[in-house]
Amino acid sequence: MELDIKLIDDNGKRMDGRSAEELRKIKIEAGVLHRADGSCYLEWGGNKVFAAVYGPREAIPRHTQNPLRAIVSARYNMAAFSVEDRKRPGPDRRSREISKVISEALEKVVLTEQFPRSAIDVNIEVLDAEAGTRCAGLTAAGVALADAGIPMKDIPVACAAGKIAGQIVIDLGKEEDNFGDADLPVAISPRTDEILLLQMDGHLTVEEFNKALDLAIKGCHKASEIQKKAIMDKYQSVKGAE
Amino acid sequence: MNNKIVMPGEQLSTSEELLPGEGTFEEDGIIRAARVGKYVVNKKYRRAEVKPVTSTPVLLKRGDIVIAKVESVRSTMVIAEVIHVMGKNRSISGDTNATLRVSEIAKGYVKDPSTEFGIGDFIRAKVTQVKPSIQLETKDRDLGAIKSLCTKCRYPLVKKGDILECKNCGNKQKRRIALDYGNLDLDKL
Repeated sequence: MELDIKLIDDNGKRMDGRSAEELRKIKIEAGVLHRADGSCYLEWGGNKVFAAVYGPREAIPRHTQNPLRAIVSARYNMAAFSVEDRKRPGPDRRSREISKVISEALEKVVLTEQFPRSAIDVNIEVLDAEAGTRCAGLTAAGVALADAGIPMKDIPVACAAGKIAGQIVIDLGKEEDNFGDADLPVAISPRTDEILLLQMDGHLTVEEFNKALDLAIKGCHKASEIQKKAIMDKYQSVKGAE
Repeated sequence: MNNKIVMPGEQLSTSEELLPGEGTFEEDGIIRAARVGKYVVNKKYRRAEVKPVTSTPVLLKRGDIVIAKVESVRSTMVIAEVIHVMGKNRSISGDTNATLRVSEIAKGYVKDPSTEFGIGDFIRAKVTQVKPSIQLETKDRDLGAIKSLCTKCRYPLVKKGDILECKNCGNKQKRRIALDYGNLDLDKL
């Protein structure tokens, strides 16, 4: 699929002026919704995402309960106005898949054994989309969970890498995602580098895959620093008040 | 202790040194923080704890004053669902089905719980046990029914002296009434 747009120019810069190993701008704010038990607002390049956490509460319907641990049910939803053409509201094949993989990723870090028969709801609302919304959503969900005081082993974080114009780069933008060769979203537990989510769209050789994975993990660590700073900023003042 | 805020996963201590307390977890012999908060060492019990700076999930504890809704009245006990913990503004995490035994309803002798509570009553009670099941008591003067419904017409009952009266049908009913019956706005919980 050769197109006449140049994803990487002669100086090695990408369409938005970034280098291959540069992330888009990330802005995170914790505890923005007062009705939610925990919440987060995140901007990742052109992505604008809200995450709200409720619970743990009794899991309903009852057959979904696990007598030994809590279930984490994430709900990823894109607003009708989040993409160029109006998106038909409601869950679709794509958002249900993303909800499932995010739920499974979060379940790995939350200490679910402490809340048997409960459910922890994580709502992820994408208000504005510009490639990499599942990574943005999961990163926001991690901050929201910490804000809700839910016991966790680590704050999960996600970042993507991919291949554009034959080169491995980090954090694909919109055009790069649409016209690139491959996309590799990765979520990790930054303390242990344990992989919580790994998906791949497109084709990569083993060498390319390894390089992309390393790059994505590097990006995750950078995003993780911003996550922690956001939580610190929110609760530094609380510390002073006590 | 130092007033540094710790993040989930941060190493606090080791199992050789301290016991993992509230807000921490143990992994491979290392005690780590499980929530955002301040690291505190409980010297008396040699426990590492994280005092939360965020709001935390509400878990029932012994001694908590709770609001519960009566689900059924049996011959020896009342079954109620705990709907709110006083002083907390988050919903309850985990089990909410509680029982209130006849002997725990009042200080005096109660023969039959159905003379004290009816289905649909909202009661204020104290938690006396959490595991293996939630047990309540309403012996104090400020514990007992705070809102009840007429068993004939389901209209809210109004306090008249020691007894409750239905404004709709004039039915008079006895209840184990809390001191401030009818004063608490349940919607504001």
